[in-house]
Amino acid sequence: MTSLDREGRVFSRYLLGAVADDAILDTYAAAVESGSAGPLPEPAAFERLLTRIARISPLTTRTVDMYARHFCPAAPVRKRLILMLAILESHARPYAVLDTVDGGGRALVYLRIGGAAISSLVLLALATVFLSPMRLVLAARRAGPG
Amino acid sequence: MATITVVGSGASGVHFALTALQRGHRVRMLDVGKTGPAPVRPEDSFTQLKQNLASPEDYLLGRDFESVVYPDASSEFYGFPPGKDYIFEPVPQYQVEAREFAPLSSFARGGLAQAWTGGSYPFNDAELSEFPFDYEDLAPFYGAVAGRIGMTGSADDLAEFIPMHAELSDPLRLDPHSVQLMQAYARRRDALRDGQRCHLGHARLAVLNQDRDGRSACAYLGRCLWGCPIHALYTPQLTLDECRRHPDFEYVPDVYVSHFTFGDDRRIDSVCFERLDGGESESRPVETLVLAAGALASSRMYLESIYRATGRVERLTGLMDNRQVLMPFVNVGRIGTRSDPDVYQYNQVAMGLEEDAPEEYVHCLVTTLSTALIHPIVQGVPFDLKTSLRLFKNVHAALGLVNVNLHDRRRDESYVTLDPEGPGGRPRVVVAYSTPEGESRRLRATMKRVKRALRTLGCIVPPGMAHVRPMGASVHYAGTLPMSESAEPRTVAPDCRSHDFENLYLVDGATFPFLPAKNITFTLMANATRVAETAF
Repeated sequence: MTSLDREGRVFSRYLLGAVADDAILDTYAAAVESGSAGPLPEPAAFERLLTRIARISPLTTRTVDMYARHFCPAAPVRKRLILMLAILESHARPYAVLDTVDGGGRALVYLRIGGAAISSLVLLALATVFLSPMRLVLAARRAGPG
Repeated sequence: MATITVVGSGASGVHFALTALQRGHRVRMLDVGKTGPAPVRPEDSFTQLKQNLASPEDYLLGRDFESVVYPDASSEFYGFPPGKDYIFEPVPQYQVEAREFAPLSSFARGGLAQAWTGGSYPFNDAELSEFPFDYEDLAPFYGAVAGRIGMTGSADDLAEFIPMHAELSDPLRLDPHSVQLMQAYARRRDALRDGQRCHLGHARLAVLNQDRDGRSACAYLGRCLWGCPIHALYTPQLTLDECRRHPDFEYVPDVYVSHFTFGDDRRIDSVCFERLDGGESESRPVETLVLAAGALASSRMYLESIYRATGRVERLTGLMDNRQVLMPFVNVGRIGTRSDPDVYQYNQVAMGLEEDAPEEYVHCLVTTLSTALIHPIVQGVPFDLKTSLRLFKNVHAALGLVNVNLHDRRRDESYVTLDPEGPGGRPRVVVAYSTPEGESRRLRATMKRVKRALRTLGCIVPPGMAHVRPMGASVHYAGTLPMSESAEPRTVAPDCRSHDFENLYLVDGATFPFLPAKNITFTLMANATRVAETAF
């Protein structure tokens, strides 16, 4: 399995809760390779690091996604997640999963949204603690001495 | 029988041409005339398309994924569908330099209105006060065009500002969110009408609610944005097709008209054009020339013709466009409900805000979110995509967008002129717009009123989400060669005949002396029909 195949599987699990079918994964890989979501490989070391971490599991994807949303919104990893979302929503079955209202009444809906928002903020805090220093280190290394 | 040469196949050009043909004239139409793809699976709804197409992403996102909206894109809330790319495809001959203005041009068959949303709002007497005629004079032509293209509307609270004309049929079935907004308005009508001078009603739409003329009634496919596949939503290409079936109509596509030539008697004798396949420049003699290429392109031809003949660079002042503000809202009462994709996708509700000066009426289009792509919206939520999706799917049915339109007036500081030394030595059009004094105050006050009205309807506007669109985005360009009763240079007579060239007519937005807050396409069509009826 190539790193791009793995990336597609992890990203679709993150967004859908299940791995998308092969046709969608192939479309995603072809789109990334075509440069639609930015150049390959990513030009900056920190951007490559973000993508590598995001590929590990849906939880790390979410952590990196939340960090990128706030600190580097045009990072390739964020663009690739948006690309995967755009492809998923173009197909009927994944779209049904992405756009079906949570059951259980409005109070439960608010509760779930609130819970998701709080966990996102916790992930953002953790990501900031770990990723921001790495970003500084990699930027300094790139700048070189003097 | 005289031959009339028309330049441009947009809303004005085709209605002028069809009326002239019906009155027994021969019409030759010169046009770039780019064409789009044939409708894909016209019987399928938006949801069925996703199921039935082998590669639905090709249709929705483009073969090269060019319609995916990324965070660094300049698009506004949503991307433009790939099937409509042809509408804005440029031609190398037409070069523009713009200042404080983001002009859009179309060289498609049917012009910019191939991408319109069907809003058809006649101007009332106050809005026509600077025109050399009033509503009563224009009403028969509004009716004629409505009968020709099919139009829906109803005599509701907006009729006070949007006159009722002939040939209106009943509105389409409202989508559930629009129903809820209209019900909320009915409950709070006194507070809104009397307290806030805010009025809600059905949108006036150029869409069929029953089959006619080979077109199908709206089937609620949810595909309006991608181009109505059954032609329920009117586009000017349908009238162009009707013209082309007429024996006295000659359609000359794939040509770019650069200028016209004229003699010392200020009578135009020929029109000059280049073939887009790279052929030599050609000219054809004209008896009567009608410019209908849109305010900017017609102005460019006019300026370039004068420059080539005299070496003089003129300036056409008075360029107008509607400032627009997009205000997303959430209808709290609909949170947690299911959204229905099988609906008419564009706005079905309109909102009007009264102003002290009646011609300054503010017109708002209220669109409820149904089948738009979700990735452009979700990425704007300040969370990771997983959390943003959870939020989105539970509020999808509650989301809407108000498109606020403001009027504009002719001012000397906003103009169109020519740069004779454009790229490649070819003259290029220069479009300069100057924001009127006090506009920020006016915008703030209007946005405050819209927010208040939405609150009264049970909706909230998320903080920081309102977006003031750049000038030029509404594509309601007007005012550069206005109608005038006095024979001043760079104006046209009430019948739209040029005061500068005796056999030249302009029938597009260039001739409007005032721009109300309403979509202008319907009035463009009615005025072009009026000119063909009264001057020919």
